[in-house]
Amino acid sequence: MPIKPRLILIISLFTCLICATLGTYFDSFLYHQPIVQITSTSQVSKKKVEDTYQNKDHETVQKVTGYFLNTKNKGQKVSFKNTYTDSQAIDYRYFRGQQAFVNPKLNELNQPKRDTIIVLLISITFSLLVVFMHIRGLKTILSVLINISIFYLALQLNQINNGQYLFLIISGLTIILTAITLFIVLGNNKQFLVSFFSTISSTFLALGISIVVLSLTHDQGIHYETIDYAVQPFKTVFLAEVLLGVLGAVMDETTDISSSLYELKLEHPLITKFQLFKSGITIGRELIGPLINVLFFIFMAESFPIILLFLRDENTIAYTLSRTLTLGFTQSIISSIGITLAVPITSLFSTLITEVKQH
Amino acid sequence: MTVLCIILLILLICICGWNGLAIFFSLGLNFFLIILSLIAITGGFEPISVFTILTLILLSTTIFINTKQPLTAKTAFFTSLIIIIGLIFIIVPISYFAATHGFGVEDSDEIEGFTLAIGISFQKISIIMIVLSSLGAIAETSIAVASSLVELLDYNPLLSNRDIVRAGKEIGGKIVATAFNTLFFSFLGSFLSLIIWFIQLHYSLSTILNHKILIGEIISLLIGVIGVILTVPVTIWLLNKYRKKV
Repeated sequence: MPIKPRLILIISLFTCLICATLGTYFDSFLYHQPIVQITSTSQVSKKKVEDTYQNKDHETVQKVTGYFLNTKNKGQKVSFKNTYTDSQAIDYRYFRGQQAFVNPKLNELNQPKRDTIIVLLISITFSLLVVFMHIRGLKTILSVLINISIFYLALQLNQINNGQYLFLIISGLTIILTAITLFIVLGNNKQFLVSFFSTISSTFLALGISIVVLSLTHDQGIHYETIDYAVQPFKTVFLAEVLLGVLGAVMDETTDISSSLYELKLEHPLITKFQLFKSGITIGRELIGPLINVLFFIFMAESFPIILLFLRDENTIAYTLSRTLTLGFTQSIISSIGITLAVPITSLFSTLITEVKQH
Repeated sequence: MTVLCIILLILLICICGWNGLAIFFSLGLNFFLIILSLIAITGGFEPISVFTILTLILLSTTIFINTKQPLTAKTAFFTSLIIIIGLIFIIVPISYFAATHGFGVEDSDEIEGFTLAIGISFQKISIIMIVLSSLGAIAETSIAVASSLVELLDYNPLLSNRDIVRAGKEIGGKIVATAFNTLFFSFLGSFLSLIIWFIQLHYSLSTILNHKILIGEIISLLIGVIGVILTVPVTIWLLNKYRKKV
């Protein structure tokens, strides 16, 4: 892209993002729930508390002063008493500059308003994507927006069917999202075909193997009922989560391997099928370890708060892990199987599809 | 679960040879270390200090087990460290303002019967969770960029710093785009049950936009993405710095 249109594009994007962030800061008139702008806080009292497990904490009462930003009391000064603990598991410590929702019935602060901060962070991320990656950054943003819309539509469809066909819908969703994401990254070419078929085959093969193994072992040691928010049916929701979760990592891998093999083929047109396959395995090997770790850390981190709660309430480690981590761990293992399988599968598809090209 | 682990081990050995064994056991080791840190935090150790040590160890196992090339490993390790320290400066104010720590209303069933004043700051835990979620992706990106550049240098050691910057930007853009997808889909998977819940109970847009758990997850995702984007220039810069000394 020539410099000038690009500059105009970047400036207009920045303007949009700044407006969106400022917009959410002044959007309280759109909310039905009363919102206050906090202007000062002061500590009223602080006392030690101890529970039955000798966990020591403090309970602090703070006086929070501010003024209403919306409803008919707009502009009116108001103050609340707010109690919080040091752990802040479900309570909040408020401070100056925050905006917070008020529960009108109980006349107390409910929770902080979070839309400004999240829109600000989204704006920062989008700006960085465009500044550092130019057109590729724009494509990434586009693919995210499309993916989220389709994801949402698929779940609406699931709701219409009362969740009966959840797994079928998510499988279809997986195929569509893979096609769109890879198409936007790679464009319409042979490499797209290789990546697409490899991604789909590896993820579904990994999931298929796992489903068979899990039913043969009667889900021994896995507590599906510990799934977040206990959305029914547990097992289907879990498998659907696994399917979606591993998709990105496998796509990452298949695009890497297929593009390296494509370049190799260009440089050495006489390379044999077997050599190409072997190079694919060699390239892929390097990718497996780091990718497994990426997903593993994310799946583990999600359970930290609940693990700590279990451990602090003097549950044994074995019991704690069985109630909190079996799903995250199983998800990591299934994903790892998919990531590992993707290496030979992509190498194979690369060999097959590049072969077709020669004729 | 045991059978699945065995299948994974066999596949890893088939494809990666003995290094597959290393990958498998580093996964086990990482699991053990994370649990050990949580036990240490429960035992009263300061969460941030425990986690600083854990981060250093996890980074080392992730990078040094998977990368044999010394220049790549060194560059990737210090890049990840710089990025994570830098990210802390973004994470801390954001996590204070967004206050997404601890548990949400939807967790009520799960945490019913627990005493919640356990004396561990969930705000600190939430910062730790965000760092851990981005750690793997940052290390992976840095390894990928550094190893591609080191390979270029192997072919042509006379490349100037400027050539490296140009090549690094080109390679980096591609790597960030795919790493972005890795992060994006792994979070999309975990949004699934939450979004089904939102739709079932007809949550309003205003509730969703301020939702404690959802916003918390999105923050983790975005911080990971920001980390990955910034990893590319830092990797290029450090590689240029280190390679003169090789």
